[in-house]
Amino acid sequence: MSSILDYDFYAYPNICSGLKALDTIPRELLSFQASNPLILKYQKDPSRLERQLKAACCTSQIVLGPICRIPENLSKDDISTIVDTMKESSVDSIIAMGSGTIQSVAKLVNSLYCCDFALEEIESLPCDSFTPLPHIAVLDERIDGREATNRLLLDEYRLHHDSLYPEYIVIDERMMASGRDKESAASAIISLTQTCEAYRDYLLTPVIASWTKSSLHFLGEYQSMSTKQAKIALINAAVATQIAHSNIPPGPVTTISEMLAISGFCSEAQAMATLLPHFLSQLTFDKGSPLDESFDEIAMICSDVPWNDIQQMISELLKNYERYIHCSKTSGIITSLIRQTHRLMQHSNNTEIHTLITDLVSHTTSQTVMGGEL
Amino acid sequence: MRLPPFSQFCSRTRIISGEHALERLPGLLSSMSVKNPLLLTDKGLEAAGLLRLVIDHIEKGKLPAPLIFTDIPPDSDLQTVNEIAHLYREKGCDSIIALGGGSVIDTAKAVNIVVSCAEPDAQVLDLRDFSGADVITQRLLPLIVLPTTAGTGSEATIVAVIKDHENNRKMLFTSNFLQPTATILDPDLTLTLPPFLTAAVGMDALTHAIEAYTCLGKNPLSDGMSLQAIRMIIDNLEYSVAHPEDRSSRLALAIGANLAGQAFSNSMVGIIHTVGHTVGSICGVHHGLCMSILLPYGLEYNLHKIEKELKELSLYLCGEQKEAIGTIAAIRSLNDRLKKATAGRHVTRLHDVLDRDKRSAVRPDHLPIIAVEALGDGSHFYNPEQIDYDDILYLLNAAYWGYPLDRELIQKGHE
Repeated sequence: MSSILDYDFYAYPNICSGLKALDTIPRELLSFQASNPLILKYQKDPSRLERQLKAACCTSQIVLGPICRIPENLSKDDISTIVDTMKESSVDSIIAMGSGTIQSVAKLVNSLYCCDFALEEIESLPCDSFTPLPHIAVLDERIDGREATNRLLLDEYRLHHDSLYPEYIVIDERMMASGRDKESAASAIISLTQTCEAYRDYLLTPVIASWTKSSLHFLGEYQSMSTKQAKIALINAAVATQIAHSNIPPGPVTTISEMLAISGFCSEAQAMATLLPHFLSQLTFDKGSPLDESFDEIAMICSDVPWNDIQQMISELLKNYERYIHCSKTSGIITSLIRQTHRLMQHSNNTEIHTLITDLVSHTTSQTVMGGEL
Repeated sequence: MRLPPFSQFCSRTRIISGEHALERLPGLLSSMSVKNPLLLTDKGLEAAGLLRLVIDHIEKGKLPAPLIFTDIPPDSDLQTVNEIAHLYREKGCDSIIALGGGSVIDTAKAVNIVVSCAEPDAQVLDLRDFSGADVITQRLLPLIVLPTTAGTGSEATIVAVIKDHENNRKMLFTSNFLQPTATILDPDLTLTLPPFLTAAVGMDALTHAIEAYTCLGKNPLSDGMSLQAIRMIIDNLEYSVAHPEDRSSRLALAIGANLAGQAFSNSMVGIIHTVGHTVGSICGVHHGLCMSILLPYGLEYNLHKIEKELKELSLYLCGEQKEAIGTIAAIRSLNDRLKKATAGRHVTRLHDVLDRDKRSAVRPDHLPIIAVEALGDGSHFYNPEQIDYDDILYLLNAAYWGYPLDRELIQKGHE
C-alpha cells in the first residue's frame, strides 16, 4: 500500500538569491565549462539588465554570446530564428532573463537545439532524457508558475520533461522593476494556488511538505515587507512551491486555469483567484488532521508577522489581487469562467474538477465572488 | 524571520523513498544508461547480508552483477580512494553505487572526483588537488547512494571527508557537484542497525536539523527541510529504538536524516559539530554519540542568540510552544529516555563513554587538548556566537560531568 513515505522526488535547480546574486553567474557558467551563453530577454525590458549582466561577467573569461530580444507576440518564426542563431553561434549555455514566457522559450529552444528537432516535431521529443545546455533562469516578479519546473507552456506547445529543469536560478533585486504591482499580485496568487494544491495532495510527502512550508514562509515575508525585498520573497516563494508542485500531478485549480488561459478567456491568475476560494472551501481543516496541523505550525512559526492565521494570509493575498482587477471586468471573467467550466465538465472525468466546478457554479449564480458584483 | 541578504540552496539529488524502494534500483540504473557500475561497501554490511540484498535486486532487474569492492575502512582514506579509482578505470566502469554509511559514501564521492576530473589518458590524479571549497568545477559521473544508517545525511550533502594518513590530516571537499545523482531510502537497509546505534545516528540527524535551523547560514528553504526533519525524527526515533523491526519508523527516520542532510548542507552547522568533530578524532568517540551528548550544551552556549528559533522548535520537540529552555530540556529528556531504552548504552555525559576495553574513552586531561583543536575546526564559522578556548573548555567540562551551562560564566556574548 502506498503511504506518504513512498515517493520519488526529482532533482531540482540550484537557487541563488539576494544581493549581487547576478554576479554569481560567471562562476556558475565556468562550473558548467560554458563560456558562450545565449542571452534571452524581453524586447521591452530595459537594456540596463544586459549591462548589469555584462558587468557581472567582465571580470571573468565569459564573453556574452548572441542576445535575442523576445517580442510580446512571439511567432513560430521567432522561435526558429533563435534556434538558428544558437546553431550559428555554437552557444554552450542559455541565460534567460525574466519570468514567464521567456523561461518557456528558453526550455523550448534548448530542447529543439539539443535534439536537432524542428518546431513541428516537438511533440515527438524523446521520452528518455537528453542532455540540455545549462539553462540559467534569472527571474523577476512576473511568475507564471513553471519557471523552476520541468514544464513549459507556450501557446499551443506544452511539454513536460525532466530535461527541462533549469540548472541554476538567480533571484536578484536588480531584476525587479519599481512598478509591476499587478504582476506581483498575480504571481502571489499563482504561488499560493500551487502551495495549497501541493499541501492538499493526497500524499503530502515529507519532502513536499518541507518545500511548501518554505513557500508559506516566503509568502508571509512578502506580505509583511514592501518594495523590492517583498518581490525577492515572492519569487523565492514561487520557486519553492514550483519545486514541490512539479513533483505532484497538477491540482484542479491549476488544470482548469491553464485550460482557460490557453483558451484566451482570462489569465491563469485571474482564473486561480476565482477558483481558489472554492477549492479551499472543500478542504477540511479538522482539528488534528495532518493538514490542520501543518497550517497550525506555519501560523505559530510566523507569529511575528501581522497575521496569525494561515487562512487569514490566503484571504489577504486574494484581496490584494482583487485590488488590481476592476469589478466590472471581474464579472465578465466569471461569466466566461462559468461558461467555459461547464464545457470542461462535459469532457472531464476528474471528480475533483467536477466537484469544484459544481461548487463554483452554485456560488457564483447568487453570490459575490472575490468581492466583485455579478 | 527576515530574508538573509544572500543565500544559495542546492539539492540536486533525486530521492526515491519507500518500503521496497530498492526494487527501483535496476530501473534507475537503466534510466541513466548505466552499464557497468562499481558497487562500494564494507565488510560489515556484506556480513549483514545487505550486499546480497542489493545484488539480488540488480539481478532481478536482469542487469549484470556489478563489480564489487568491500574493503572500505571505517575512516575513508586517500589510499583506499586511489586503489578504488584504479580499479574503476581498469575495469571500465561507468558509475558508482555506494552502499553504506558516511565512510562508504564519502569514499564513493572522492573516487568520483578522481575518475570524473582526470583526463581520460591521465595515469595519476592527486585527490589532494581538489581539497577545499568549490575546487571541483565540473559535473561528476553518476553516483547512486544506498544509505544504511539514518543519520549522517551524507547521501544529500555537498561534503566529503577523507583522511590523508601521510600528512596526518583530514581533507575536506565541498562542492555542489558532490551531491549524488540519486539516493534510495529503503527501510530494509537500516533494519540491522542495533538500537544504541539507531539512537546515536538519529540524534546526529536531529543535531544536523537543529544546527541548520539555528546557525548563521540558515535560510527559509533550509528551515523548511529542518522543521520537517525534526518532526520525523522526534515522531519516530524512540519507537524505532524500541521496535527495531518496524519498517515504517525506520523509513521515516531515513527520510528525516535525508532532509536534515539537505538542510545543513545548505546552511552549515555550528559549535556542536565543532566540538564533536574534535572529541571524535581525539578520543575515538562515535560521532552520533558525541552529537547527542553535546547538543543541549551547544544550544545553551548559543541560547542568548537563538531564543526565538528554540522557542519555535519547542512546538516540535515539546509538542506545544514553550520558552527556549523548554526545547533544551526536551532534548535532555529525550536523551535520558534513549539511555533507558538502550540499557544505558546511549550515555548522556562524556565521562560515561567507554572504549572497546570498557575504559573511559574521554579523560579529563583530554579536555584542554580538545578545546585547542576545536578552535581549528571550520564548523564554528557559522555558529551564532563566537568561541574561544576558555568557553570551549567550560562547555566540555559541563558535558563531561553532566551539569547545565551557566550563561553567566561564558565569556563570549557579554561584550
